[in-house]
Amino acid sequence: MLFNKMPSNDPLVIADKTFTSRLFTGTGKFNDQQTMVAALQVSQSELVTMALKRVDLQRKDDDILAPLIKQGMNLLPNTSGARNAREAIFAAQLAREALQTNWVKLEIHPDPKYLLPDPIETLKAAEALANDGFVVLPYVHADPVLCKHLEAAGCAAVMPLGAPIGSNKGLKTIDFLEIIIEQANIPVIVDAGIGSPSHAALAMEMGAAAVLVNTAMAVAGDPVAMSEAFAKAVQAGRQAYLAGLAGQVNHAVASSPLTAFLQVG
Amino acid sequence: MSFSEQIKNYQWDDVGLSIYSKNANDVHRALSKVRLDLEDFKALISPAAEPFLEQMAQKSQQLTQQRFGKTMQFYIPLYLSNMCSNICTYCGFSMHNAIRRTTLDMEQVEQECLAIKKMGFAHILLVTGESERKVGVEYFKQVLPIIKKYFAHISIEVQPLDQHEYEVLIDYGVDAVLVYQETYNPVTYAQHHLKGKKSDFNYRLDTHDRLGKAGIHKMGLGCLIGLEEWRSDCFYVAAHLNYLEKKYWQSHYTISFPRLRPCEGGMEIKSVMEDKQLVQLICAFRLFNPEVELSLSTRESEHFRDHVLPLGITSVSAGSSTQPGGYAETSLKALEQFEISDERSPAEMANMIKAKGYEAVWKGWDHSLTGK
Amino acid sequence: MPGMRTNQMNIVVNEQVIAIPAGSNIEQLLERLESPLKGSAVAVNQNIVSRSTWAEYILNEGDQISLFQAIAGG
Repeated sequence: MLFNKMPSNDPLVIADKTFTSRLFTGTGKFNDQQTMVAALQVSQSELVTMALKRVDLQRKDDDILAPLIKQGMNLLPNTSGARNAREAIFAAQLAREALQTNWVKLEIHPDPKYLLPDPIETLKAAEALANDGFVVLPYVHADPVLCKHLEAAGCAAVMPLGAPIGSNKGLKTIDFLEIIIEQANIPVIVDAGIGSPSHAALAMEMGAAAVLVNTAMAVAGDPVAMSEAFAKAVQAGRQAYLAGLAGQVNHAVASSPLTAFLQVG
Repeated sequence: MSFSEQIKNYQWDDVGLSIYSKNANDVHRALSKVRLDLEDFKALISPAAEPFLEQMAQKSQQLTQQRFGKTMQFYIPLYLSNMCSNICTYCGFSMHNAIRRTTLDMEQVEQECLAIKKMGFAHILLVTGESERKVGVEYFKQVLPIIKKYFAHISIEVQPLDQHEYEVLIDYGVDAVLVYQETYNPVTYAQHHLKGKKSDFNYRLDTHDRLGKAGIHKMGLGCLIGLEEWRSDCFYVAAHLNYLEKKYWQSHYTISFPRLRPCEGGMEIKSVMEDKQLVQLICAFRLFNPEVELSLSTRESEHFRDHVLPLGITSVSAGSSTQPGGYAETSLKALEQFEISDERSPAEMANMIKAKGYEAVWKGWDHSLTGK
Repeated sequence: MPGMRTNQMNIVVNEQVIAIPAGSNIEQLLERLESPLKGSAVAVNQNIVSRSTWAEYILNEGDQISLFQAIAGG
């Protein structure tokens, strides 16, 4: 059953755009275009990622853009495939041309096995792209110091990972995500590794500004139903965060009273 | 963007109402969270937290030991000058107060350093009134090389300066700068700061932003407790700390808790803070920010310091004199800025700390770490 | 020259050699390839060519062209 969009008194502002939905989505790994479009629609996502690749002249790929643009989704091209800053900058410029947007998800993973982001090349590319007028959303490991450097470099948000791409392992980096969220002056979007709606809800309860989910939705048994579950989880997590979660109770170690001296005299 | 912009997000009266509206549930929640926010801080400094003081103290002690170990950093203030071109109603150095004014010359500075060194200190706090013309950057440039010969860590508490002036002083060896807003309420501020450059509320308020941009290693903030409703003013200190930490994330921070004391000129204190409330405030800061340095000076009594230091304090002064030339025996005595309550010598203080199972740290820093 | 049609030229598109009329511009090339103009980006000899100039940009013999399109991705 579909439910209403979140009230817009809790909007997420990133650079020049305002979002009502805090669930960002990817377009990869769906079994077919029709399922992808249906799933994204149900997710109520307002920002969707895509990659760029050289056209195969023999076989034409589906045009994924038309249905997404028709749904009014904001496009976030990624630089996937880039192995260093130079390649990422080139990819970003291509994407700006192709999609007529200056938003870019900076993604540099030279390691093809685990697809972990390269921090050094990412910071280099982020600085260059931010200076060139891009709205940079860098995908990085959950490194609090790196995230502060990216913020200083002019990124519009940071996207620390919960676990390796596609692993569906959840928030393995939770302790570091907490630190990043505490220290950030820009939105923190947890990206990669979110395998279930409960992971997404947890990220939102912690104070993340948004989450980006792809694999978990695309390869689920029923991608459309799973997308709806994710949408609900992100809303629930955000609402819990705003409502003020009760912490866990830890009893203080009993020993001789430290403040008894105040009663004396 | 600087704090004078950020502070517009808070309304003085709303802050006070908000603090007083906190209840036991709010305090429970604050006590059970690992990462507290400013609303939690309000709960912990509200009247509703008073019944929880022992619990706060236990947790504060535990957090402090986890972060700082069982140590206490010792420092000493050296008053270089009591010249001042401001009129501040509460201060012994106020321009209209008839006291003997003096500024130490380089020879006197050297003598003071020698006397202080004998007491064992490696961390020193240089203090002056606020007299830009006579005791300004040029004077500091002369003094700092002398101080640097003797001391590993130099803090200063002087008039607010421009960013490029701080950059110069940092090159000359200043590690930390302490500036207290006195009160974050601009109306009350105007009532107490009647003349001189200090009457510029916003310039003072933005000092820490200038320090952050200059790349200072450590900066200190606080309010003069008693000028205004202490709960509201201390909330603003916490909000200021929060803002600075997120923006100048490579700087260290320290909070002090100066409570108004009688001085020449005598004035009525608007909001009297009781001992148990100061304990509450110190613990609240520790719970709110487990990493910040908390400092307690010799303004507070022996009895109070003995019991409060282990609850959350990490830095103390000892054997202090608040008059220029107060350490070398041959110096003449001018009027002190405020009365000292804890007059114990550094050696006595170190023994007291040791008896409580703490180690007195004389040198906790070295310039070689900054490559200067 | 024997064996060469003077009104054709060879260019390389995504590492495939293809023959197109000499003096073609990028827009004409894309039409010939039945590639959508929207959502595409073109680089000639490693330099990105802005879409606004596609109609005026004349290709030369031997140009290495990369034609990019948006595809599904995370």
